[in-house]
Amino acid sequence: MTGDGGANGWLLETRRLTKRFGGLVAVDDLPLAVRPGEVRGLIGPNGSGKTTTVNLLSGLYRADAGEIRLSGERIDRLRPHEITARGVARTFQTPKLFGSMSVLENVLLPALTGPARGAPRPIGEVRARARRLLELVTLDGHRHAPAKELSGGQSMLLQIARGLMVHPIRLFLMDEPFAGVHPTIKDTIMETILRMNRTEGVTFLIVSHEMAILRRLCRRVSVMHEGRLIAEGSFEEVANHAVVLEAYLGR
Amino acid sequence: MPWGTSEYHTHVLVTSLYYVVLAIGWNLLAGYTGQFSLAHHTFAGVGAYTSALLVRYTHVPILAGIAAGAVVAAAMGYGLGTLCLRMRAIYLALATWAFAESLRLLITVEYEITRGDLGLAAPFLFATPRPTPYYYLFLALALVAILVARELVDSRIGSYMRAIRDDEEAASVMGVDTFKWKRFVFAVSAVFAAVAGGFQGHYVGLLSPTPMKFNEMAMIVVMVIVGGLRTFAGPILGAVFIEVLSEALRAWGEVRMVLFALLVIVIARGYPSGLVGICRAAGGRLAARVPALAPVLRPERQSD
Repeated sequence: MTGDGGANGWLLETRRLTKRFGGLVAVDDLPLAVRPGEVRGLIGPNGSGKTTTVNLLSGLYRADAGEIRLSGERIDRLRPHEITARGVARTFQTPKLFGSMSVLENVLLPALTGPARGAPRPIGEVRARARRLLELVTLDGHRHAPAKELSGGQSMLLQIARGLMVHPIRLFLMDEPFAGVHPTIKDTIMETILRMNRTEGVTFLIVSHEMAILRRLCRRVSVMHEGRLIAEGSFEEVANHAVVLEAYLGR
Repeated sequence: MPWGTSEYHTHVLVTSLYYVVLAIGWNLLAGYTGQFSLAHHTFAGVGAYTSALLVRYTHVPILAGIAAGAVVAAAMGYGLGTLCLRMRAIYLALATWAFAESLRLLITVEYEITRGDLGLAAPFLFATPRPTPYYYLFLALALVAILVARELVDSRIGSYMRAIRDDEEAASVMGVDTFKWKRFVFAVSAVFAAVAGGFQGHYVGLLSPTPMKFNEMAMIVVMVIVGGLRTFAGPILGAVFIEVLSEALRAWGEVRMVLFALLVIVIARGYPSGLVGICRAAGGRLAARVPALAPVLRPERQSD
């Protein structure tokens, strides 16, 4: 426990979170609760509402009902930059970079958008952290290249380094960070997650289909199906859950 | 006359510099921030009419009128920016175009106040229609516009603008208040246009709704694209180049617009960074041949 949680110890907590698109209920009455310092997996078949959930949590979508709390504070009516200012970063499944900027400029941008409160951070410190993170994700050698020239996997790595520049980074939402990237890059991403979790206590919520990877990263996973939370627990508990098997295999 | 040019040539220079200010302002909005507004010329009209009307009906000094024009334009730019906050690309272009046309029609039909197509007299700033003093005025104005734009583009706000243009969603989740900064740039670019328009009105001496027609906006777009959209020097080069070319081909009349359209197509197809890109490429080739010149021709600059 890092003391980052709300009244009942959750860093992130949603209650009855609901999002509809016309007649489709994409997220339905979702209760999600993540402890500070956790690496949580969020899995489920395609179309089960995982990405919509991430979009709700990061403020890109506005919930139709329910609430989202960060350390006990309601954030479901805040705009994306206000949520970011509270220490929430995210990546997108299809990398969204600032293509005309250099790799380094991409990583520095979150530091420019502060200071939410207090004095600006010393630029030397910011640049040192940027370089350290770029080294961590093996992109330091490309720091002067335009971001649009990166490969898909490198773009994902850059999104991750950029998100880690949000200050102070508390919760990192990742939407399919391993989809379609080279195995070497998958390893780099895994190492980065574990390292930042261990050294800085960053909490992760990771949407992914890569069960083998999630098994190594997460102690707990949450399973969504048709917008609802159908199971939650360790891998073994979830894997043997009858409802999960039915959702995945249609049995 | 500056450089011993004729009065006519000086007039062409004044007009070029007027367009330099307009083009720089539009490039901030469309080039750097990605908000393809088609109402930029309207704010020049707003500046000109606000000042001329105030001077005519309330007898304020001309400079106070121009300042008031800038304030009105900033407020309208902010309002238009607010209206367009959630619009992308073509929808934003259409909405701003509709705004521009509405305002032009309003000024045309409010004959009692604006004298519509008959034209509204605006007193000369320097008590003369001769272009020389206005040349120095507009030269100073263009320099100020360049300096202000340079400061803005190099500041952290410049980074927000490029981030919004490259990917608005990513900008917002990386902490950029996209609504605030889009409105801000709308207002700033409107002020650029209104100040230029205000001074231009008190140079020409007669305002009409004609320069608020879409043709004028098309000229600004042509200037920026030919010069180099998203480059800092593009609008400056483009405005002077197109205005001078336009005057040189005056005898061709409306056919010039076809020529400019073709020019835009060629540039868009082959040289997306316009004249600036062509100059850079030429500089690069020269630097390859004469290595001594390389540091001058290839300055390491991450501006655009």
